[in-house]
Formats: sequence, structure tokens, C-alpha cells
Amino acid sequence: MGEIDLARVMKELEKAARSRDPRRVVRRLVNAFIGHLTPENVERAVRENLDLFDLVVTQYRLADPSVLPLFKAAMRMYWPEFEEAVTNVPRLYDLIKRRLGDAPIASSPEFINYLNSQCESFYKKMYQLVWS
Amino acid sequence: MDELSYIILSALVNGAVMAVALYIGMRKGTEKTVDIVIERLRKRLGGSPTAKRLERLLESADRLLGDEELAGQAARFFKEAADLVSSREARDFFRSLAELLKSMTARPPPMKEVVKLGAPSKKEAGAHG
Repeated sequence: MGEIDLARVMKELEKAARSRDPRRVVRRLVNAFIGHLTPENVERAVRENLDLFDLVVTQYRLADPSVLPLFKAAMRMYWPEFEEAVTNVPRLYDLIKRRLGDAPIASSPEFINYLNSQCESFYKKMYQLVWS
Repeated sequence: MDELSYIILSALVNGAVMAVALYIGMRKGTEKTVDIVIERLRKRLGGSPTAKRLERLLESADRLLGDEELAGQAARFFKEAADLVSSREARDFFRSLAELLKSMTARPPPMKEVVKLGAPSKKEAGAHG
């Protein structure tokens, strides 16, 4: 996946900062993430043990000095909603499973282990990024 | 008239968005960046009393992040602004801005435990794999 245009990222963050409905914003982000999943790319992620946090940081240019401060502020506003979404693996799994349908990878123990460990590490790394 | 107010308000809102984005980044930003922002803001907002208040607020931005009282003042300013404007969009925006400022000085919450998913039963995994 290539990087997303910086202006688009800033625009999305600005929209998030204006929103009066944090749950909707987080739901939209989670759905956007799940919408990108296919059995093939999930299989690849599990096989290569891809770090989702690194992927998101690169994809959305979150480490960019012009994005990071606004991202941190927006995330602090939406932290309870984000936390609720990422710390409940069974709920996230249900959403992903619905997206992947009957694909064998969706029910494999490897994927479940991967999802458990990624959710935990994603949450910890995001906590460090947002609150440091 | 409504349209004119909207245009003026949009300029103010755009300026404020830019200001807040940089406001937040100022802790790590350079003095030069702050000067550029204030200069840009001046150009955008003109000389209205609101603009002057916002400008004063920005000039003390370097102290804001570590100063809860100042952040509170800034948040109150945006809350007042939210009460003064008639457009719903602008009102929501100023309210969000106030919340944004509050969030900037918020203390880190305790970390939660991640609720993990148990491994699938052999039957379930076997049915698919």
C-alpha cells in the first residue's frame, strides 16, 4: 500500500476534530479498515506477521510533524471510543469475520492468535504515541 | 447578509483550524513556525476584536500546553464563541475546538486490559481449514 496524500489526511483529521459524534468517527475508521481486508491480504499479514501499527503509521503518515500533533489531539478526544474498539477482540473479530465470509483464514487459530497479539500491541503502541 | 456572515465566519473558522493544529504542534515547533502562523492568521482574520483576542491567545500558546489554567481560558473563549455564533456548523466547530483544547492538557488515562478471543474449537477450525 502506498502512502496517502498528506492533505487528505489533514482534511480527515480536521473533519474528525469538528465531529460531534466520536462513536461515529471511530466506527467509520474501523469500518474503513475492515473494508480493505480480503482473505488474501489477511493471509499475507498473518504469514508475514505484519505489524498493523507500523502499517497504519506509514500509510497515514502519522509520524509526519505536520500530522502528528493534530492526530494526537484528535485521538485524545476520541480515546475512550478508540479504546473500546481496539480492546475488545471478540467484537472486532465478528466484524472481520462478517467481511471475510467463509474464507478458511477467518476461523484459523493462526489468525485468531495474530489478531489477539496485534490488538494488544496496537493498543499499547497507540497509547505511547498519543499520551507521551 | 447571512451569506456575508458565513464567509467571514468561514475565514475565521479556517484560520482557527489552522491555528489549533499549529497551537497543538507548538510545543515541538520552532519560534519561526509560531511567527509564520500568527502572521498568516493576521492576514486571514483582519483586525476584528475576535481576531485580536484569538491572536493574543495564540501569542501565549507556547505556555498553553503546560498550563491548565490558560488552556481553560482558551476553552472558555471557544465556548463563548460557540454561544455567540448563529450558524449550527460554526457553533459545533467552536464546541469541538473547546473540547480539543481540553483534551490537550488531559492526563493519560490508565490502560485497559485487552479482552482476547479464545482459540476456536478443533471442530470449528477444522470445518474451515
